[in-house]
Amino acid sequence: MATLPVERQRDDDELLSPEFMAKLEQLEILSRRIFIGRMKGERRSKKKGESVEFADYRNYVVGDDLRFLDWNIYARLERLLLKLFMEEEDLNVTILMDMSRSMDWGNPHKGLYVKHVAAALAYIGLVNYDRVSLYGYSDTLAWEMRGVRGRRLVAQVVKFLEDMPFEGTSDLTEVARRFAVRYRGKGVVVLLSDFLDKSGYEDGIRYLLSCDLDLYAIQVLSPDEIDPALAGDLKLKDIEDEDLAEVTISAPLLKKYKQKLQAFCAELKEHCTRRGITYLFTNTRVPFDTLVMSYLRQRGLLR
Amino acid sequence: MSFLAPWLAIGVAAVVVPTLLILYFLKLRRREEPISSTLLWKRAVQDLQVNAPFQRLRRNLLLLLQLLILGLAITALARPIVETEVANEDRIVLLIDHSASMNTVEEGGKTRLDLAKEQAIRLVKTLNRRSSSWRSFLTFGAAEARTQVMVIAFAERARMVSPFTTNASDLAELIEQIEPTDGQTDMKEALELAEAYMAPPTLTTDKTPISAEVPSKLVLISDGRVANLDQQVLKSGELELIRIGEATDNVGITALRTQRNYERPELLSVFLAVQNFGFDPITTDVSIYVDETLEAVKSVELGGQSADEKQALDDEAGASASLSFELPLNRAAVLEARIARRDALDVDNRAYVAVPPPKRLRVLVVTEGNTLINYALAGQPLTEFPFVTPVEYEANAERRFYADDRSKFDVVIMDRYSPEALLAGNYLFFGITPPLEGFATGEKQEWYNLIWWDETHPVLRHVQLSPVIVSEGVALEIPELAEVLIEGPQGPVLVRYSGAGRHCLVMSFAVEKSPNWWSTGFPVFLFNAVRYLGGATEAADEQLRPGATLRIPAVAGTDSVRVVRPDKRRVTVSPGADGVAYYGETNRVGIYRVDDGVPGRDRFAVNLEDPWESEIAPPTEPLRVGSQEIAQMELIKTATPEVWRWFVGVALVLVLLEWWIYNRRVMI
Repeated sequence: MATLPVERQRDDDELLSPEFMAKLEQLEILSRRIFIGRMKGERRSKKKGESVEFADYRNYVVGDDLRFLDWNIYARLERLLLKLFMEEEDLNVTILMDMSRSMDWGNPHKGLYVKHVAAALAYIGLVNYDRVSLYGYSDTLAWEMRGVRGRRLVAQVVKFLEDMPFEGTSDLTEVARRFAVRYRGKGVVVLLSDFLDKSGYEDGIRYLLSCDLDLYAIQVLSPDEIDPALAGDLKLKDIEDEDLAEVTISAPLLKKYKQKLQAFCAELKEHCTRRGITYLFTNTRVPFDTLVMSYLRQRGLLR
Repeated sequence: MSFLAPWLAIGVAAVVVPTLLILYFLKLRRREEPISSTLLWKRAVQDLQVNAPFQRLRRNLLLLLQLLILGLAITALARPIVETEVANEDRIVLLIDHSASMNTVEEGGKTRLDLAKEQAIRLVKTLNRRSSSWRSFLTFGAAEARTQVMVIAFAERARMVSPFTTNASDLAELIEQIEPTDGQTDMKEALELAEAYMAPPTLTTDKTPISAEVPSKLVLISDGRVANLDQQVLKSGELELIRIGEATDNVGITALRTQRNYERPELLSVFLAVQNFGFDPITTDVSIYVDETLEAVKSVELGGQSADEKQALDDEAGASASLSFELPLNRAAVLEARIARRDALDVDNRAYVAVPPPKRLRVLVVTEGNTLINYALAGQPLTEFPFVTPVEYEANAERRFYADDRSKFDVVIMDRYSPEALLAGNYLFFGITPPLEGFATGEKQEWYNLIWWDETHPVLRHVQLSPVIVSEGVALEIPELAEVLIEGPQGPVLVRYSGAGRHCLVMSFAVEKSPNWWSTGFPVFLFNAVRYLGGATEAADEQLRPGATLRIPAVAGTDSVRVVRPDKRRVTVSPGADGVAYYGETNRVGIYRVDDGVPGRDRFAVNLEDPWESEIAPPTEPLRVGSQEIAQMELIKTATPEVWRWFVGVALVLVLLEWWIYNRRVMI
């Protein structure tokens, strides 16, 4: 099991294939809210601004920039009216990836799947001149790439993603707390994780919500977790914290496990939905392009 | 607290504990499986442990098994008891019959004695269940009156196996050690022994009341073949019977006699009686072995006994038969008769005779002249019988007639003459006493009859004594050890005495003093006496039954006699002052051989020859002691304290099964 992800990575080392990139060109990341960007971007802003797109008129007050006066109106009506244009701004797209050891597991591989999805979203963001930040976390925000903009940085982002190792135990609470302290902008945050965090995900989500973000939670589980193909007397070893669980696999136990998993996912979904977080469950067997091209569009993250 | 079957427990532990350990180690070798997170698994396992038993009550085989095990264990703790009708008397005497008929092999290969011992042990454990019950355990056994049990094993003799005790395990061990015998069944001694002990303790202190008069109970464990039981009297208590045995199939030798031909002593006649005690007619071969070599075989057909005539032991037509054989045998030998057919009782299928060698005796007669003795000896097959006068005898007695301080002649007849000193040898005195300590000649007696005589003694067999009138004789003063064979009005007339290598028969009158005797019984008497003294007496004439005492003449000068029993055990006995050793442990049938004994008297055949013991079929009528009918108890199927072991045993099996299922997940 442990060697499998490495092989997969070698076979499938391209996080983004050219064809897939071509498809992604069409997409852009949406936010259900409209945030104020820091720099001019390709995104319509709430603010009236300097883009070519006309928005409205208003009366001139002293101090306005004379360049925006509509002299044609003044000529006809002898009133000083100021032309207002749509402001186009950039968007903060933050991708938080669970890079703990528990992600380094599964067939298809969970961690790799997450990297694929992250690469796709980052690509979309870069193409649309959004500010893209990537974070890999386990018990701390160990890996980060902040404020990347522009298509030319795609290769750098892909390299960053490829180099990120899986290590440590996940501690969403601690990571979210640090993230909330550091994060100053507004925008879209996509959280990619299996959420199998022994310390719980509730506190972490609360910290993230405190930043007034447009939050997307994508739970990635492998088929081996959803329908475990286990049998016999086993000593189950948690690859993340080496915790052991002695079980004898029986039909009632498997049934119970599935029930527990379902309940866990349902609880997570409920938790997210109540707090205005968009929750998406995915099985790594679902091809990640399908997820990106179809599911995420359905959920309104992409257009 | 004592353990009734510690070895069983150890045995079970030896099997179960390693098995469990092996299973435990199997459990430890779980396969390790890496998994992304144990979070959900732990929750699932916990949930299953907490909730499952109630939800899956019906489907969970493991739980069902565990409940069953628990139930069994609890039942075992509750000490289940199979109710038996044994009343808890305070004192019980177990009388265990180990006579010949108890050797009968019953269905299942066990002998009746084995079954009887089993019954006795069960009874003992049943009686003492109270002493090991929880109640008495809690009260430290003080509050419960305990049943005291005494065990007596009896055949023709009774032996106390254990005095009154409450210790069931000791009793069981002692009962187990009771050995089979081939003796007859005689309850007289057993009852006497029991009654001697049954009297309640008379030793009293101020605290123990004298009125502790408790009726003891006697429990007889036997096959019901108890001779003369109705002639016994039960003085106290009551007698109950646990009857063992159902087998009826038996053919036995009821008599075996041998006799040498009078004219040709090298020819041996063998007479044999066989009887079928079973109900079906049978045919069998009867073979005669001489020193383990087959010499003769005859086939015999025997009818079955009819059920209603069974009680009468007299020979029914066809059920018994007599056989005779004639064999040339000119040496000492052990003759064995064998019934080829296998039946339930093996003891009576063989009978033995120690045949002495044919012997022509040498007799020396010391007399002034006696034609009567001359005539009587002339008719006997003797090598020689020289007559010498007392003067000739005294002249050179030591040289002519003695060698190594022992008489050269087999018998020396002293007719109205007694020498100064008597050397070792066999002597027959007429009308005078030997010069031995204790003997003295009294006053003369005239004209008297004989009053009593021991007609079973070999010397007096077939001798007519009733019309004998003695005209003149002497009164005899005899030593204490002398055996009186004939008694007259004034004391002993014929005595047998042996001591210090001298074996004497002393007759108080001379032959010619009884005219009507020498014409009738005297030749037979002289024949008997010469053969008896000369050691030519057929050993088989002494009918030795199991339990009889062997009289073993020792070679002069030896102080120990080694007896080899039929079971090859060697026993050393010391001869007494009279040069005869006695050995009484003849409880098994067969040949008792004496190493380095007196030739011709060194083999003793002990035979059953008892139709009563061979009759193994259970009696149809209830037994009676005196006029009282004996109540018969039910056979005890199991001893009660052991019942719990079955529950625990089943529970153990279920535990293993449960563990196996748990590991194999067969059903769930």
